Amino acid sequence: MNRVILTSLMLLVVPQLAYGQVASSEDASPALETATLSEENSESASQARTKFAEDESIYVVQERAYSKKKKFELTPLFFTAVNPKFVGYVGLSLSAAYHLRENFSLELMTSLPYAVFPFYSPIVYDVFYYEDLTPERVDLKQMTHFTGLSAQFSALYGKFEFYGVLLDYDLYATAGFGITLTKTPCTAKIGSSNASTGAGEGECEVTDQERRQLGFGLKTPDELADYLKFSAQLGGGLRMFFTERLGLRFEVRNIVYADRANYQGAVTTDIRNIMLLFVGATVLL
Amino acid sequence: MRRIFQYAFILAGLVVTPLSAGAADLESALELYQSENYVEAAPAFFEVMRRDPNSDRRDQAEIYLADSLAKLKFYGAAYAYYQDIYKAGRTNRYYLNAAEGLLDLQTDLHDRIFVPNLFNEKLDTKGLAQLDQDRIAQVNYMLGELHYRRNKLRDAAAFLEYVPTDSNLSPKAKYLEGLIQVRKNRPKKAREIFEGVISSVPADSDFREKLRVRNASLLALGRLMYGVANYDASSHYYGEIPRGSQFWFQSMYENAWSYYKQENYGRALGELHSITAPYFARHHMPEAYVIQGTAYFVACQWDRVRRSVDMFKTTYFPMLEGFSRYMKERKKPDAYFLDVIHGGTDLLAGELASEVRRSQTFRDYYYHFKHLEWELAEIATNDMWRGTKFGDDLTAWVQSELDDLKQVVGVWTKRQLRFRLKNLKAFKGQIDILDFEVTDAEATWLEQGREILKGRRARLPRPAIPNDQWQHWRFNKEYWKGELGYFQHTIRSECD
Repeated sequence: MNRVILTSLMLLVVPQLAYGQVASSEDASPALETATLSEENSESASQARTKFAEDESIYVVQERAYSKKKKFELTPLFFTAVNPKFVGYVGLSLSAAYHLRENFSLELMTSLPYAVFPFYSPIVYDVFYYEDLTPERVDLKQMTHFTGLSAQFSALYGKFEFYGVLLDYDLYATAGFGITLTKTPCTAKIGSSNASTGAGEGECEVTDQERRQLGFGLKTPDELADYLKFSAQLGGGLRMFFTERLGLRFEVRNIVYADRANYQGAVTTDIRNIMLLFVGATVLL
Repeated sequence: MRRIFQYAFILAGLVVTPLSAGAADLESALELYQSENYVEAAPAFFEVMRRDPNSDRRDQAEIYLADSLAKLKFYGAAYAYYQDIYKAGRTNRYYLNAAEGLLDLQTDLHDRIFVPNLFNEKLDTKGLAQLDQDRIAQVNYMLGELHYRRNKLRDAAAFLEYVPTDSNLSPKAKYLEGLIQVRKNRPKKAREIFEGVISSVPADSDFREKLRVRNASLLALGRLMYGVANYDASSHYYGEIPRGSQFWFQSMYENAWSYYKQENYGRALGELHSITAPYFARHHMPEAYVIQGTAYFVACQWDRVRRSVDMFKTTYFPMLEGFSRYMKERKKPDAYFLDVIHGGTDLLAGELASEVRRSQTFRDYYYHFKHLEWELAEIATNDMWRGTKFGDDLTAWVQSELDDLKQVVGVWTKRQLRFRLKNLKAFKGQIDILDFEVTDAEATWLEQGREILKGRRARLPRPAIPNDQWQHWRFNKEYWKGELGYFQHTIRSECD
């Protein structure tokens, strides 16, 4: 019975729009009017000329707005530390990634030489000036460089409208390892013109400004293990492209390493979590 | 004897004076023309044309009059004088100038009536052969198109064949040749020609008109392949039509049938989902509900068939009722044209008017119509021409052209509306049958003790994607312009 019904329906539904109309077309020339598209990017379903139920399985199957697969991505980035306790950072870095797949890539990220600017946060000054206290030596160590090799995995993607422009983005997680270079606090050498009073046995030259501020300077730690630290890097970010090649990247990356300071035999250690926020312009090559 | 000489002298003086005066008038009119003062030059030439006894100077004045009017963009008025010279044929030494002027204004005025018909009636192939290659191509294309519209396919093909391949009109001519082959039921040859058009115009061509013809050829190929039951190829060609182009809506609309025929109901419903989006709210799409209902019927989803049937009934039953009454009313042909221009009436739905207006033919007619109206208004407000014999003559000419145009376009519009009425009635019939069949099917299921009311259906898996360059988005009841054309339903048969 069903087959009969189906057959009869197939027969009755003769496409009115197809073959016959080519031959009987009134218009030798094609129509001029383009599809009337609203200025708005998205429209409410209530204005649609069809109805659909909640339980209908409707999808959009769409070619990617931009493809990363088998492409290099080069990103110069500005970074700053997020909510630093004792030491803050601003600086520049460079990332080079190779996308093995649309959702997986390997990335090498490094801070640029002479472009990392650590600074002590106000709390350090407060405790020095008003509380007559000193944070532990290890807390005053500063990271001067970082490099990391990491894997990026992007499982989530989305899009949004920004002033009428539709932007596709993907969210990614990144994990890897690398090295960081550090500097440790040091007191002014005795006999130095800038020697701070009562600073004990001095270790390094101290500038006027350092002497006026906290009274100590910074030097490369004596032991290599205290200077060069192996670090783990974990983070997540968002990248969006405005064109097939140009886009923006935002990333938060936590650089974790076990730090150690040895000051006149007194060793202090800490697990350092340096949370950095990166923003950069990205180019697909 | 002396008296005879005196009379002869006076008589000669009477003849020579107007002759020399006429030459001087023409001279001063030409000076105005050369100084680009066409507003004053035109009536000056008109006066020479009226009063000068010398026929050669009259002819010269007439061609300059037509040129002056054309330069002022009074194409309808210029037509009156060009055609006068053109009709005289090669005996008038300005014949070729008139032909060139006519061809120029045919383009500028988007004229599909006057110039093509004039050239067809007074076709002097030897005379026109002296025109440059581009204009010869224009004549051949224009006459080919005219004969095609009159269904004189052999004549049309003969003219179109002479449009050279290096001419800008070649893609249009080839496209028409393809349509002729379709009408002659030669799909293989037609496909070859349409594909030739597509390969001759790059997809990123800077020539808008050529690009339009390329897209029209893709649409024609989609239809052609559908007609020969090569549905896969049909969908391929429809899919090639660029998003946002003038044929995009039509390609999705028709592709729904191609997917239906391939039993790819999910994609068929997806195409319909796109065309029923708010972005296409002004389009006429009765068949969408027929395809939609039929696709759901095949999957035995009776509730959804009912929804499609109800959508059609809600929208198109009242529209059809009003439309039928409208078409039964006695009207002059131009009333149909004016109603369509005004976006419909109480009885003629706006989307039907839009549907007619959307065609290139209508747009060309409308452009012509508005231009003639503009000319009339300009003549009436021109201080120099108003109330003069010249102004009155121009007004009479242009008004006469406007009346003729409205008549022709009115008949054309009525035919278009009648065609749509016939289709709408056919779709109503199909919906009625679908309505009956679904009622019958439901009754049969109930007799068999089967459940016809479905609860909430489970979400079905995402459709397959060709490769990782594609991605899925979920439709969250919000239409995004960028997603139109990419919708797919996942639909499962509930027949078992």
